[in-house]
Amino acid sequence: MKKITMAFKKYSLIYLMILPAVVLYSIFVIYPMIRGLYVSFFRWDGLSDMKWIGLNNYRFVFKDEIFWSAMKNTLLFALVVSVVKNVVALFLAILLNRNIKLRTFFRTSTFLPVTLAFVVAGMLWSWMYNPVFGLINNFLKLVHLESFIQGWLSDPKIALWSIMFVDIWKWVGFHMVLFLTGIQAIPEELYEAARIDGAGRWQSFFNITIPLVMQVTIVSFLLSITGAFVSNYDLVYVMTGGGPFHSTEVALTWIVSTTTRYAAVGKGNAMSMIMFVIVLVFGVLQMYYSQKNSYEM
Amino acid sequence: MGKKIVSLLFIFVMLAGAVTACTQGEATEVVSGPDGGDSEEVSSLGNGTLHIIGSERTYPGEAEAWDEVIADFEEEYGVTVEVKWQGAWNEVPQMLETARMAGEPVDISSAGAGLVNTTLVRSGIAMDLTEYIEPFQDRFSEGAFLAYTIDDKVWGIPYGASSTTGVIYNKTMFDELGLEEPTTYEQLLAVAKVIEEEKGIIPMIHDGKAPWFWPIWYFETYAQTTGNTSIANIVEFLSGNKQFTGDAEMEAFDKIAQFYTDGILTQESLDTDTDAKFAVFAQEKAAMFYAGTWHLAPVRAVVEDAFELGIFEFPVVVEGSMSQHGGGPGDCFIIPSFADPANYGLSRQFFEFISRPDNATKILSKRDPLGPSIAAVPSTDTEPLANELVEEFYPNTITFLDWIWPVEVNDAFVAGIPAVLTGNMTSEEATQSVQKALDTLIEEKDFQFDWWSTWTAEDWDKVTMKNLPEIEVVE
Amino acid sequence: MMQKKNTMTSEKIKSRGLDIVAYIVLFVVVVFTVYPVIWMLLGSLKTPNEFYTNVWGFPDAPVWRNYIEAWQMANLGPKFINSVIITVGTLALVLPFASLAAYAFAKMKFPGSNLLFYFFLLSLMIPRGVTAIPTFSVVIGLGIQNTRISLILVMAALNLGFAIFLMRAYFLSLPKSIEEAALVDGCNPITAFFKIVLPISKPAYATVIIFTGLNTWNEYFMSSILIRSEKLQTLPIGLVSFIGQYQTNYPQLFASLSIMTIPIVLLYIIGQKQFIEGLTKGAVKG
Repeated sequence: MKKITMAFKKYSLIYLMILPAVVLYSIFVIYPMIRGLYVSFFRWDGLSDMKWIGLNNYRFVFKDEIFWSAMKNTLLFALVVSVVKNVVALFLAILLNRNIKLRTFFRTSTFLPVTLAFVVAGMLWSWMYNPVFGLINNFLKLVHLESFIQGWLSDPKIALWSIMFVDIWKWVGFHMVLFLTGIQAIPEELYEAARIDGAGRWQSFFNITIPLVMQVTIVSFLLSITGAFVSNYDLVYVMTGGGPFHSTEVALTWIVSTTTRYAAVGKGNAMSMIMFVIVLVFGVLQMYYSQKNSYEM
Repeated sequence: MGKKIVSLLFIFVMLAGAVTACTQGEATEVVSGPDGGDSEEVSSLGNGTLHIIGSERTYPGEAEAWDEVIADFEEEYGVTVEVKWQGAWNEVPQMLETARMAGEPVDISSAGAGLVNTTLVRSGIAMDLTEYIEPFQDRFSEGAFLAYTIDDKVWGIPYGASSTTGVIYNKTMFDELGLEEPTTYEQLLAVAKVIEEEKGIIPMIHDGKAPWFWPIWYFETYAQTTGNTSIANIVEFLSGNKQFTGDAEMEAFDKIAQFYTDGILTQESLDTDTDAKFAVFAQEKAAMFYAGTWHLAPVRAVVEDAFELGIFEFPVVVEGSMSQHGGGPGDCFIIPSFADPANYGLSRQFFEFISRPDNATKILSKRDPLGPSIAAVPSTDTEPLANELVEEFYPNTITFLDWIWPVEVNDAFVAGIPAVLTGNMTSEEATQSVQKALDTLIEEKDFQFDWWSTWTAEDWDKVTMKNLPEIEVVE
Repeated sequence: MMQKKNTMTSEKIKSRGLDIVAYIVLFVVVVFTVYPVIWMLLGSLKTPNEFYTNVWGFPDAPVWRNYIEAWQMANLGPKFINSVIITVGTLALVLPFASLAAYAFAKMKFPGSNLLFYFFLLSLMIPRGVTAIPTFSVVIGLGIQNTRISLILVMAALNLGFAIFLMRAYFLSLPKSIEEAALVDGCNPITAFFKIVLPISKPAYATVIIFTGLNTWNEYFMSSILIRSEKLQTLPIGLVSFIGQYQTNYPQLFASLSIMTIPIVLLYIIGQKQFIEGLTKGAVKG
């Protein structure tokens, strides 16, 4: 008994530090999730009574070809977009860490797309890609590169890539901010010491910068991967609505369609659960590998 | 210690489950007001406050017009009206459900024809209004209630304008090139060739990227390939009495594909959404587009005085058939099943009030209506093509097929039509995908087209109004 | 001596070279990032006709009226204030809750720390928008429906995951030497947190403020479900009044969007200057 009270006293302060977050989070995030899971065992149109159908929704989801093709699209999206975003963002962060003129201006400008509402971003790029009056095709015609003209958003083979480009464009600035934060936390003395020791630029980069931004990189990477699963709805919806022929359908657009347009709330929730599990697996894997490799000063 | 955490979480999950079970009752409970009032005289003015919800009013001046008419109603009958316009038109089911969950009183809600027919009525959230509308029924345009009649009962009160579809074209350009309005496909093809050769532009553009506008093509071609019996055929199909894979069905797809293979429609359409379509047309990089009358006002706002507009009916693509378009009154009001019965009289009086010619005109004129739902309201005088539309197009208009078939089936057309157009799918495969959509729907949702035949007495009871109070009808 | 001088000059040249590359790259970046905002601003000053026919250029005669009309039609004033209240309120909850928890996760060993941390990470994996209705039933259950506080609580809860994740990462990357120095001076962990770690965590705070602020400011879905009366509506909900079923008044919509975007950009600039740039190198020393 004494042991428990002692242990409790020892850790009580720490638990108190996390208590507010835990309570708020459990009530408004976890509980609704659990309820969502509960609903996934019912057939419900969102208006009338719910009807228990057990695991049948999950069976329907497994049979749903469009869902799985949307998942494939989402996976591709996640991988490509995450890698490109982070590489470009890191590169930009390093550039913008240097003492160049107009540094604030450049930093602000890279962040601008992040602040732009998806309605504007989606519409702008839809019109950029437009074959009749869009800037891209007109530019290609101007420099006599007509052969490069594509149905940017109408060709099922490239539509998804066109959207991915826009997603990267939109979010690079945000990831750059993350990296900047990380880089600036690195004490200058380390670079000094390395230079005195005769280390070249690349050596400093690989031995100092990279390891010490590892934490931030992990955050940035995890965010871009989970983001590609759980928050790219708006952009895809505005640019193509999932077409053509569902070639740009991502998990989220299909879940929302199923839930709201088809009024199949139970099935939509089942899809969300399945997707959640898949993202969870990715997240856990990533955290596991990154914990193994993280540095601590 | 780790065990302690696990047990805490376990208890939490159990609690969550218990609370869930308790609140589950909430989701199914119909929140209704005080007892239907069988035993006592129900004042025809209910409890004195009318609650209206609806989607955002987007026509300029419409919200203000409502305020004015509502203020007059409040004064004339000495009651209060609380109206809330929030959300997009397709968020109505959500708005209803959240209002019900929150226990908010709702006496009247706006809705759309598509939603009413495919979701709202069969889910039991709309009241049967057949008796309710009798006092003022004849004020509505002929056939206005057709789109809201299921199983010989009326479920919605149309309040807006009727639409139809046709090919909108650049009349100034046609005149310049000496072109006449085509009535057959061959004539349209000839016109398209002239435009292409003389002007070097796209003959016809379509918002192919906006998925929801492909099915209207099918409404036209299917009406013709079935010898103008499209609705009857669709009902047979949805009731499971016929497969969708017949000749007429396939031919209807092929007739659309023809437009593309013959070059009337071009590749650019697939990359163009509705706004881009307006842009292309306004920039005179395309001469015509097939759309609904709902695009007439927007395109005029964009084009302004640059050139004149004309409209002609979808061409005859099957010899011997008539050109027949989808259309109908898309906006309506419903009475939610959880509305307070004590207020039926009040809401009934309200509808009587807003269907009076002067009040209806105040509100509906803000929509520049062609074919307003209230007969006494004049069609807009700012639309030069109004007369032509009312006289020639509307008589050839039947209900939109996507107000009859469920959304899942509609999506099969949305994906199938452009697929057949571009040769990615054969028309046979397209019809099979439509059939498959219906079959999946039946399997996963227990879909039955004639849901009304599956309802129990209890189900009917929930949507039937009892002891409707009389109202005053002012001529 | 001569050798060292040479390396130094070649170093300088390399440095200059890289600077020039930097400028070129950044110039391209600026074109791609600034033009869209300019496009939005230009669009907000056009007539509907110009918007569709003069897509990429300047308006003939700027229609400043669009801003006034948009403001009045959608009644943006109160909505602007509501958006500010919600955003500030959310941040007021997220920052303290998340930083305390993140610090505990990063620096202290206690039973269940890993489990609880992963618990918070789950929120990053929950699909947006699908939990709206269940969340609403929780809000009703607590009797706070149709209040700004309900939206604040929900937005705060949703952003906790990211905030904790980011701050923990930041705390983990701080050299241990700092707290060791503090502990040597006899502080307990809490005091160490407030006196020493907090002041140098400004970049982390700035990032959380910017990201959470952005999320909350632009949020539509939860807000449309939880907010049920007009006087409590936020800006994104007000935008819907420009988006009709069949037509959208883009110039006015863009005017509203410009109004909405400016505070965020300002927030970023301030956050950037005050926090990120304000960190002087070497302040990390004990």
